Amino acid sequence: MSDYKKPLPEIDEDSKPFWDAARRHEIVLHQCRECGRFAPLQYPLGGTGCLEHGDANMEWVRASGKGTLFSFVVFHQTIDPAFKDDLPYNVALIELEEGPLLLSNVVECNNEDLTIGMPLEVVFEDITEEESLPKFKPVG
Amino acid sequence: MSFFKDRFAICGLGVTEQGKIPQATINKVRAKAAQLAIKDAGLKSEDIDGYIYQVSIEEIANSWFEPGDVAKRIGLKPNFIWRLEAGGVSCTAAILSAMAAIDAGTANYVLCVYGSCDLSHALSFLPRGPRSTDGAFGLFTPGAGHAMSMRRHMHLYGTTQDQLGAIAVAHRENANKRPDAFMHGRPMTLEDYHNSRWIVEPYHKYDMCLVNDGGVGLIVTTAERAKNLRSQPVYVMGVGFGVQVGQAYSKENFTALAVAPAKEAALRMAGITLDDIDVVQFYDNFTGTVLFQTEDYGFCKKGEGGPFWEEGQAKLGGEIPINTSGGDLSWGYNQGFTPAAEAVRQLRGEGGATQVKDAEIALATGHGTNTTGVMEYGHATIILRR
Repeated sequence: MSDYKKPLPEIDEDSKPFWDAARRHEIVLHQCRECGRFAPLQYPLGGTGCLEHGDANMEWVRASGKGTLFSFVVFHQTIDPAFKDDLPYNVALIELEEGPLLLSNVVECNNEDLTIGMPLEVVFEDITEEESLPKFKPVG
Repeated sequence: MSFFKDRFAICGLGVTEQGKIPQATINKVRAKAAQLAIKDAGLKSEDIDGYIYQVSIEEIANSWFEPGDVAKRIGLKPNFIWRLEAGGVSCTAAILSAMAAIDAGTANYVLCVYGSCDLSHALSFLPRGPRSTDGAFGLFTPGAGHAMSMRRHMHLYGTTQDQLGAIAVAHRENANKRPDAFMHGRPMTLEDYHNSRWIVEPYHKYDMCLVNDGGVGLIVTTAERAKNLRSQPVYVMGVGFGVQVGQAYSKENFTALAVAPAKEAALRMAGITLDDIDVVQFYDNFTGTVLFQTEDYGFCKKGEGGPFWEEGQAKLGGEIPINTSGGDLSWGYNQGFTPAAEAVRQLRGEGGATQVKDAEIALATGHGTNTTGVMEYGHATIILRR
């Protein structure tokens, strides 16, 4: 795994629970216990409490891992040489069943078959000894 | 608040060659744009007592700044040198800062400059460290974030690749009527557009702005002073700004830009409505950015930008002429300074073969990010009159 050349996710104190969960092959979301609102899954994750109910009410809850394709692009040009062999490859925004958007890639699907709204479920790619990326594949 | 309305003017415009400039450095290009603007105004270098410049993408990437360089090169004696890092909204932000500085009595003639050598010095959009969550998923470049929004727009409203092509072709047609455009003499058909290579689907090469060397300089002064100078004054009627923080990770407004607050503030300050605008210069880093703005400003309904461009409503003689020089897509990429420069030219009657007859009021915009980040955009509106 040490020959992994692609960029690694940025992990800090605030986002660590998300990446620790990914390592366990789970997606977790940062949610306010009082109002149920999710912190946006914008990177870096977490770190900001609920405006109305404060930091103490925030908890990490497990998401179902199901969602739909919100939008996607297909890269045809090399920016980082580590992705050269993947061309053309997709980058996607997944609308999780719970609501938030998550940046990812759709795997086990031809780029030509990607359609917005298609149902997807998470699969995890172990990229190093410590880190895993949540990716998504078509359901069924 | 219409405190600044009509009290300040752009009294000088300098436009360098757009394309490949031999032995160019960023500050040499800026110095050239500055000299041309000073000459255009009929001023001398020592008259310039304030200098504001937009930081280039390359300088941000390399964390390399030499603010005093241009002043030394051309003999400016400014009371301040400010480097502004507000991406594509920097031009309007510079003009507003200039007006405030003049109003405060600290300067009389403020030079606002953009310059770059993006063509001569290959730009890198790679993350700066080994860690990048966007990069972990292969997401690089501003084009990809914009393409993501565009794809969603196509899904929601049925916008077609042909319609994006119509935007690219319309810009190229204008550029081919303007001899100083980088793409002058290089016509493009819809077929050429479809044949251009994919960069990041749904964007082809021709959906994307030019990569060129070039610069633009503007001089701001009081309306009173501007009346006695060499060039026809262009008065600032209104300015406004907006930002969408974390837009790309929010489902709301995924296919819209932060136009509303910017547009409303600028129109309110100017005391006019959209119907009073004679010509529009949109910031056009990508075809989709033009499409979104056409809708978000209300020149057509949301989702109808594709047909609007396909029917030629944005051409000369159409409903509202947009990007008459060919813009950042086909004239030359100077971020927000490209639309502002063309607005000034139109109001002075210097639009050549794409001049809008009797243009009295122009709207120009800026769009961009404060960082090299991929998906987070600010917006600026400036309304100018002759």
